[in-house]
Amino acid sequence: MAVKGIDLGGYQLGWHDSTDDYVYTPKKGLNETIVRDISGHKDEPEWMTKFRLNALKRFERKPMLDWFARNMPDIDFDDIYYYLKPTEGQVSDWDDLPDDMKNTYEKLGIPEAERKFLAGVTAQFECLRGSTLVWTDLGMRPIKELEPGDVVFSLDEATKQVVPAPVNAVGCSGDKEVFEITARGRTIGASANHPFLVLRDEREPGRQRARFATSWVPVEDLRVGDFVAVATDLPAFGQHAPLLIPERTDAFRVPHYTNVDLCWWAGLFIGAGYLKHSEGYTTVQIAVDHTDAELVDEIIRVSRELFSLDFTLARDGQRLTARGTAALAEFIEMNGLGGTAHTKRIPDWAFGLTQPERLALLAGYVDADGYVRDDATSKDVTLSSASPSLLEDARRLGALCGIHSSTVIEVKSRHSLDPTRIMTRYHLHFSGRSDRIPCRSPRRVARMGRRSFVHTYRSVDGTTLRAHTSDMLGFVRIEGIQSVGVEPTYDIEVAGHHNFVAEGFVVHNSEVVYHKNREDLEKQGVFFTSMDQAVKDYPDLVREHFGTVIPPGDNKFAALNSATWSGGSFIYVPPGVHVEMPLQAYFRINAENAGQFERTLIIADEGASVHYVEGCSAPVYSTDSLHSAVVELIAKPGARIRYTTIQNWSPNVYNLVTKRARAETESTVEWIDGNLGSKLTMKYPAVVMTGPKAHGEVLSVAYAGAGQHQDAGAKMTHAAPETTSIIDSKSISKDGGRTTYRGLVRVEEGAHHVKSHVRCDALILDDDSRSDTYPYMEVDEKDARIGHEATVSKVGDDQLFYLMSRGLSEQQATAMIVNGFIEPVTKTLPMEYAVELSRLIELNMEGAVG
Amino acid sequence: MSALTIRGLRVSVEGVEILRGVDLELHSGEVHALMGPNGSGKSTLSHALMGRGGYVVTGGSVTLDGEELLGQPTWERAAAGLFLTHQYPVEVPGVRLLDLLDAAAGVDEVALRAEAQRLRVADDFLGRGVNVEFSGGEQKRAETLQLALLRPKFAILDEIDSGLDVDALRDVSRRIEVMSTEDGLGVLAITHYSRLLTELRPDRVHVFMDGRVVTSGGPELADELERSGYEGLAEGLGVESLRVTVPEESDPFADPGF
Repeated sequence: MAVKGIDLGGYQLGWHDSTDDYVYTPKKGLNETIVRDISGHKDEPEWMTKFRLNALKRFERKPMLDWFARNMPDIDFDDIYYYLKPTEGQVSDWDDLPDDMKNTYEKLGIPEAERKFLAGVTAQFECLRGSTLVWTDLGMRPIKELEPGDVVFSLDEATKQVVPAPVNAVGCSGDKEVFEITARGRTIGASANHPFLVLRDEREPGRQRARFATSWVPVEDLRVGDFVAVATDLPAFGQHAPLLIPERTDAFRVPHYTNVDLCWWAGLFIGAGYLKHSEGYTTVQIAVDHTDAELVDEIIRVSRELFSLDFTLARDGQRLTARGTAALAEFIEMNGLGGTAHTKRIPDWAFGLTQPERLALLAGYVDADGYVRDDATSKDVTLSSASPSLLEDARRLGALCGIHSSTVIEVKSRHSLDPTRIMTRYHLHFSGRSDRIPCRSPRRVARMGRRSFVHTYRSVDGTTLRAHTSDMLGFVRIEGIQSVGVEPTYDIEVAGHHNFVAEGFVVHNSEVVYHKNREDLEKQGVFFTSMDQAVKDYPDLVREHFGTVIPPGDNKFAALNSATWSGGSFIYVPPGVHVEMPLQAYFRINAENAGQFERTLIIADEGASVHYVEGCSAPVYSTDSLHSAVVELIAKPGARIRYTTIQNWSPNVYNLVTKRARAETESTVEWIDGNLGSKLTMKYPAVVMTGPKAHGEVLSVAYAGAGQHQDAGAKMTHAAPETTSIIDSKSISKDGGRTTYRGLVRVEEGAHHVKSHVRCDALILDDDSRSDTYPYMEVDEKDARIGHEATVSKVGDDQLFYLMSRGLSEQQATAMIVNGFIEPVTKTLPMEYAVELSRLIELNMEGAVG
Repeated sequence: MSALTIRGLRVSVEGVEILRGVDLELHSGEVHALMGPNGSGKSTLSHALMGRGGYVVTGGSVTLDGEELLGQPTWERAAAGLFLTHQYPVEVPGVRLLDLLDAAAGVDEVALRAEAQRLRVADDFLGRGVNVEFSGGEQKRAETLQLALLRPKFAILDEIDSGLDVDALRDVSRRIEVMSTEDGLGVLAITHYSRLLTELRPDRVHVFMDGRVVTSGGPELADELERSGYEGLAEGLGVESLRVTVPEESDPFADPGF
C-alpha cells in the first residue's frame, strides 16, 4: 500500500509510484503475523500493537451487515496487500510533484495560489475584488486576468509622477470580506488590510495651521472624509495597433496600422456611422448635420485620404454615402466597429493606442455625437447614447487620457412625436480636461476653448493641497466606505514602487512575503504531521484520544482499519488558536490490489478552530482496490472544526469510510463531503453532540455516473440539550448511476430543546439512473424540533428547452442546471474547492476523467 | 430587412396532428397578433417553431432569411435570431439571470442593470435563480428583459399577457414596441385576449382555429372578433371546429391550455 500526502513542507509522505521501490512488501492477506509485521516495521509502542491485534480479533468476529453486504461484491480479504513500506521522500516544491498528479491539477485548473500552497509556501495578500479594473498599457483590465509581465501604472512617491511598471506576480487570495470605497464617481472594492495612499491633517493639538502629510492607510482605518490619492493623468503610453484587412479590397485602400486620422474616423463612425444591409450587399453611411459644413468637409477629406472613397452628402442632407463601400463595411465589422446603436462598443484594441490616437478616437466620437454645454459655470462635454456599455467604454478611454468624467447617467424623456412614449438614453459628462479632446467640428472647439474651470483635484474647500499633488496626482474625499460581503479577491505584485492604479485610485500592492506555512503553524503551537509520526512524537496526546470516537469494534471496516492502518494526518490545535489557512493532504492509492487504510485524528482544543481539506485521487488499475479510512474529530468546548473532502477515486475503488466527530459544549463540527469518484462509496459522516449547544452540520454532494453507486448520508446524535444540526445532501445521477441518501437523526433521552433540519435533494439526469432516500429518526424527547425535506427531480425537458431556447447547447444547459443545483453547497466552499468541485462534475459528465 | 416565413407547417404530437398547414410571413419591424381560442394549437405553433422535442414536423417549411430552421436544434434556431417568450417560464434554481445571459450572449452586468432599470425590475431579483419564486408579472418582465438583451430578429410572444397586471402589461408592451420600431424586431404575439392588442397595436391580426390560420386582416379584425367571438367568426368563415380534437388521457407535451 502506498499513501501520497503532500504536506506543507515536511509531511513524511512523498512516496514514489512504482512498486519496485517498496523496501518492504509483506505477503497478501490478513493475519496476526502480518499485523505484527506492520506494527514492527513502524517501530510502534506496545500499546499500539495491542490495539491493532485487538481490532483484528473484532474484525474476524464481526459479521458483515446485511444491507452493507448486499451492495458489496465478494471482497477477498486475503487478496489484498495491507501494507507496502515505500521508500521515503519529501516533496517541498510544486515542481517535485509526480507528473500524473500535476496533470490532474492542471486539468482541473487549480489556481496558482493553491499550487504554491501545496508546495508549502503562501503569500500574505492584501486584495482587491476580481472585477477591479487595473490601468495598464493595454487599457483597463480586470485584476484577475493580469499576468506577470503585464505593464501597469505606478506612483513614484518622490517625484509624484505616475510611471509604467511591470507586474512581477499575480495571485488569487481566496474569499475575503470586501469594502467598497466611493469617491467622486470612482468605486473600488478592497479587503480590510489593503492600504491606500491618504493625505491627512496631522497638526499637533492646539495648532491653527493644518499640517498635511501622506501615509499608507489600510481600508479598516480609513474614514469617510479622508483624502485618498487618485491618478489624474498618465504618462504617454501605447502603440499603433495592427488592423485586420479584408481580402477583397477592390478600389479600397486602408492603412495596415492605426494612425490619428483613422482613429478619429473610427470614433466618428462609432458615434454617427452605420452599416445599411440591403439586397445582399452592405453600404457604409454616416449621419451628419449638413449645416456643420466644416465637419462634413473634414469627414469627406479624411475618408478620401484613408480609403480613397468619395463620400457625398445625400439628397436629404442628413447622411454621407459613397459608391463601393462593401469592402469598407467588411473592414469595419472585422475591426470591431460594427453593430447597432445598442451593440456598438469601442473595440479593445483602442485602449492600448498611443495617446494622440486615443484622444483622436474620443474626438471623433464627440464630433459625431457630443454636445458641449455652453453654460457660464459648467462647460461639460456630454455624450449621449442608447447604450450604457458604450458610454462606459468612452469613460474608460477618457480616464486613460487623463480626462475625468461622471458616471454613466440614465435619462428619461418623452418622445418628441408621441408623448406617451418614454425614451431611455444614457449620458456621460467629461468634466476633467476635456479641452484635450482634439475635436474637428468648429462648433465643439469654439465652446471648449472658452472653458474656464477644470477640476484637477489639487485643492479642497479652499485649502490648497498643491504641495502634495502634481499634474498626475490628486486627492479626493472619500464619500462612503461600506462592507459588501465576501467575494473572491486577487492581488498583484508590482516591480519598483510597489503600488498601482486601479479604478483611478493609487493602491498599494501586496508585500509578497513568502513563508513556510509550517513555520507559522509551529509558532502557534499547532501539530500537523502524519499519523505514523504522531504516534512517535506526541505519544501521550495520541494515546489519550486515538480510537475514542470510533472504537475498534464499531463496525467491520473500522475494525479492519484499526488493525492495519497506515498514514493519514494528525492535527492538534492548542486552546484559543485559530488556524487561518485550510490544512490539507492528498491521498492516493498507488499499487494494484493495495488497500488504503489511512487514519486521521484531529483535535481542536477549547476555543480553537481549524479547517482541514482532503482531496483524493487514484490512477486506474485493472483490479478493484479497497479504501477504508477512519477519521476521528474531537472538538473541545467552544472549538470549531470543518472537514472538507473531495473524493475522486478511480471508478474501481470501493470506498468505505467511517467518519465521526465528538462535539463538546458549544462547539461546531462541519463535514463537507464531495463524492464524485469510486465504484461504490458508503460513507455517513457523523457528529455526536455530547455537550449542550453543540452544533453539527453535514453538507454533501454526490455524483454517480455509469457503473457508480454513491451511498452517502449523515448521522447526527444529539446527546445533550439544546444541540442543533443541519444535514444538506445533494445528489446527481447520470448514465445509469445510482445515488442513495441514508441518514439518521437521533435525539437521546434528556437532550431537550434539540433542533435538527434535514434536506436531501436528488437530481436524475436520465431514465437509466436512480436515486433512493432512507431517512431514519429516533427521537426520545418530545420537545425536539426536527424538519425534513426531500425532493427528487429530473432535469426536465422543460428546463433544458428553456435554456436551449436562449441559445445554449444541450451540454451547456445541462451543466448549468447541475451547477445551479449544487450551488447551495459550493457557495460554502473556499473558492478554489468550489471551482474544483464544479469542474470535476463537468469533466465527469463529459466522461473526461477516470 | 429580415423575413420569417412559415409555409404549410404540419406538426403532430403523439401521433395526433395539431398543426394542419400553417402559413405566415413576418418581416422586420412588423407586429403580428395571432389570436385563437384555447386548444386551437397556438402554443404548439410556438414550441414547434422553437424546435421542442416531441413535436413531430410532418410537412411544410420555416425559413429565416431563406435559411431552413426545421431540423435545426433549438439553440441553433436561437442563434439564427429566433426568440420565444415562454408562457410558463420554468424555474432554474441556482442559476442567475446574469449567468444565463452571459453564457448565451456574453451580456455584461452593466447592460443587464441598465435594462433591468428600464423594465422596472428590482435589483434583488437579478441575484435570484432564474424564475425561482417569481410572480406572474416578474416572470414576464424577466422574459422581456432577456428578449431585450439577446436582440433576436424575431420574437414569438407566447401569451405574454397571461398573469400580468395592467402596469406590467404596459411596461412590457412599451419595451417591445420600442424594440420593434427602433431595432426592427419582428413580433408574433400569440394571445387569446384582445387586451394585449390595445397595448401592442399590431400591424396584422391572424385568427387561428383548428390548427391553421383561418383569416388575416388589419387591426380591425380584432375588433370584429371582440364583437362576434370566435364562434361567431367561425360560423361566418364556415370553419367547422374551433379546436383540434385530442384523444383523452394522451399528450404529455400538451400545454396546460389544451
